[in-house]
Amino acid sequence: MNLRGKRADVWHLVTFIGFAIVIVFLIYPLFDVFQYSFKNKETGELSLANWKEFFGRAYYMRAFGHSMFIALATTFFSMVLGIPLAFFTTRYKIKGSNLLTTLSVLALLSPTFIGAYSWITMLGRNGFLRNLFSSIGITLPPIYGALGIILADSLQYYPFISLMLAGSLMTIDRSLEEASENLGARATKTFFSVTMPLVLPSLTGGALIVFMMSLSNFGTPMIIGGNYLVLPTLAYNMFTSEVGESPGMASTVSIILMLCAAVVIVLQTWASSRRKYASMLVNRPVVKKTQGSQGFPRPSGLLLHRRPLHPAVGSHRILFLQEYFGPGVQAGVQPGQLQADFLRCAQDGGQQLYLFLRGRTSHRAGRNAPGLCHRAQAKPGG
Amino acid sequence: MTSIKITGVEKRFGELLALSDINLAIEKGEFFTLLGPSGCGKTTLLRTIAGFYRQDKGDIWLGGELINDVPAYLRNTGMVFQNYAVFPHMTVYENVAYGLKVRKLPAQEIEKRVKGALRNVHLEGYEARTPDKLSGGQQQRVGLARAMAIEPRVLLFDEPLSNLDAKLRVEMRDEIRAVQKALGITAVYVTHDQEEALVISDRIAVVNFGKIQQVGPPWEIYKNPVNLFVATFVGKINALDVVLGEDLGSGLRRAQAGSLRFAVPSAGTEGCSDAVLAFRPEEVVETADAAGVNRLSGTLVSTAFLGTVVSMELELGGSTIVIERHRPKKGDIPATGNRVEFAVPPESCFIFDKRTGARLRAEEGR
Repeated sequence: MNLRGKRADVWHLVTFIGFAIVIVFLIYPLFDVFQYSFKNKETGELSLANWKEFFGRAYYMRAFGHSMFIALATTFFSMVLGIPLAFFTTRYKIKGSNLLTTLSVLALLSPTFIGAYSWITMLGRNGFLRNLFSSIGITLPPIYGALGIILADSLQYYPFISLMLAGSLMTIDRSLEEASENLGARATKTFFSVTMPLVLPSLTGGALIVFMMSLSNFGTPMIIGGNYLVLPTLAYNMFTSEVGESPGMASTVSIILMLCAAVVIVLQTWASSRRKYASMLVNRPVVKKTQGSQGFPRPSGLLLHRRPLHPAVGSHRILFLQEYFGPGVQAGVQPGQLQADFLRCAQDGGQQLYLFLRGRTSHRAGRNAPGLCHRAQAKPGG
Repeated sequence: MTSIKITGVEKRFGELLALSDINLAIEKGEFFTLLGPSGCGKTTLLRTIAGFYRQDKGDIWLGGELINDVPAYLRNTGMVFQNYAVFPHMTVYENVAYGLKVRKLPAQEIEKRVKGALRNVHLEGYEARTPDKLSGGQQQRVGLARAMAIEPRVLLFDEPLSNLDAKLRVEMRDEIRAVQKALGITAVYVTHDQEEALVISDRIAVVNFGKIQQVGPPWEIYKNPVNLFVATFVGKINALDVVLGEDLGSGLRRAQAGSLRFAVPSAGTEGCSDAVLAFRPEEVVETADAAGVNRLSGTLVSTAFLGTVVSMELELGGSTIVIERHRPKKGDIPATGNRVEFAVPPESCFIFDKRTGARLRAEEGR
C-alpha cells in the first residue's frame, strides 16, 4: 500500500511536469501567435481583419491551394516510389538493398534545400543535364515551379514511406499471405487483398509524415519554387518584406498550416484506428509488464499516453510538433530566424525519425511508441 | 484410389537435407499423419505438397495429376495453419468466402458454401464477427471452414492444434476427424504429438532426419516399431543396452545387461551381439503371472499416480526403468525405497541392432 502511494506521487509529479512543459513551451507561445493573428496591425485591437484578408484575397488562397497541391502530389509520388522499394527490399533478396536503404536515409538527413539545389545544378537554366539534352536537340521542361518542388520533395521524402512500410512488411504474419495463395489467389491478388490492408496503418502513417513535411517545407519552394508561392514561403515573405512586414498575417498563415496538419492527423488517426489489426495480428507479441515499467513511468515525449498507439502514430506527432509549433513559436518572438529554424527543424525531425525507426524495427511492434498524444490522459496507465 | 502419390522426393535448404527419398501413397479419404520431432522435415513435406516449396528431386501427383510445376494457387489444396492465419481485416464470413470469391463463383453458390462450411465447424451465427472477437479454438474453426469451403482435393493440416489448450485440443481433434470422415476428403496432418497422431489417424508416417522411418496404422506403429527411433518416439519405452548371448532354445536367446539377465526372442538376431532391449512400461506383469523367465526386482525411486495407471520408476542394475500398473488397488503402491518385483514376458521384448537401430525380428513379421 505504502509503495502504491509513492508510485502515485511520482505519477502526479510527472503529470504535473508534463503539463507545465506543454503550457510553458507550447500553449503559451502558440497563444502568442494566435493573438497576433487576431490583432489589428495599427490599433492593436481585436479584429478578424487578417482572416478576412486571407480568405478574401486570391493571392493568399492561391498559395494555400499551391501548398495543398504540392503536399498531395508529393505524398502520391512518394508512395509510388516508396511502396515498391519497401516491398522489394523486404521480400526479395536484392544485392545492395541495405546500401539502398542507407542511401535513402542519408537523403532524408540532408537539408531540403540541398536536394533542391542539386536539381537546379542538373536541370536549372544552365544545368549540365539540360545542356546535355539540348545539345542533342531535346528541350526539357523548366524545373522551376510546382514540378521542381514536387520532384525534389518526393525524392527527399519517399524514405519515410519505404522505411515505415518495410518495418511493417517484415513483421506481418507470413502465413496470412500463404493462406491467401493456398486459397487460390495469385501474388498480385494476395498483395492487394491481404498484404496491403495489413500494412495500411504504416502506409498512412508514412504518408501523413510526407504530407506534413511537404506542406511545411520551406527550403525546396524557396530555392526551386520560383514565383510559385506556397504557405511557408508566403509566411516568410510576410515577415521579411521591407515594404510592410506583417506578423499578424504571417501568424494567420502559420495557424492555417497548423489547422491543415491537425485535420490530416485526425483523419489518419481515424483511418488507422478503424484498421488497427496490423499491430493486432493473431500471433502478436505480448507486451510484458516489468517491475521497472510498473513502478516508474518511462518519460516518453512530453506527455504520457495511456493507450498504446500505433508506432507510426506516435512518431509523426513529435515531428509535427517540432515542425509546426517550433518555428511557429519562434516566429512570434524572433521573426528573422524563420528560415534557419525551418531548416534546422526539418533536419532534427529527420534524424529523430531515423533513430526512432531504427529502434522500432529492432524492437518490433507492440511496444509503446514514445510520442505525444493530443488526447493525453491526466492519469497514467496502470 | 490413390489421392496423393509422392515418389523419390528430395529437398535441400542449402547444405541441409530436409527431405530425402520420400515415397508415399495416400489413399482417397484417408486421414494420413506425418509424425516426428521438430525439424524432422514433416512440415517441409506438407509445404511441398501445398506448393510453397519446390522439391529438388522426385515427383508429386495429386489425384493422378503431376503437380511438380503447378503453382500453389492452382493446386486446390486447403491448408490449416498452426497460427490459424485467419485474415484479421475480414469478418468470419469474408474469411470463409475468400477462396470462393477468388474462384469467381456466383454469389448464391458462395453463400451456400460458406453457410455449409460454417455449419460443419459449428460457427453458425458468427458470420459478422471479426477474428479479434474470437477465441483461439474459434479462429482455428474459421481456418478449417475456409479450407473446406473451396472443396479442396486434399486438406493439409500444419500442427493445427498446438496453439490450443489441452482440453480444446482433444475436442478439436475429434471434430476435425469427424468432419473429415463426413466429407470424405483426404487429409494430411502434421503433428509432433504422438498421442494426437495415434487417435486421429488412419495411417501414420513417422519421420525423422528427413526420412520416413515407418508407415502404418497406429496399432502397427505402436506395437510393431521397425526401429529404435519409432519405438522411443511413439509411446513410452524402456531401453537397455544388452549383449546377446547363448541360445536358450524354444526361440529364445540370452540377453545380458550388466548383472541383469533376460531371455529374448532370438528370431532375426543371428550374427548380432551388441543390441538394445526395449519394452513398454505397460507390458510388465506380476511375478505370479510370469512363467518363471525375466523376473526382475528393482528399488522404487518414485511413483506417479495418474488415476487409471500408477507409473513407477525403478532403479535396477544401474539403469532406471519405468513400469506401469493398471487399475491400481489400495496397497498396490509401495513406499519409495522398497523392492518391487515384476516380470517382462519375452514376447514383449523388442530387440534392436545397437549400431543401426533397426529392429531384429522374424522375417514374416515385416
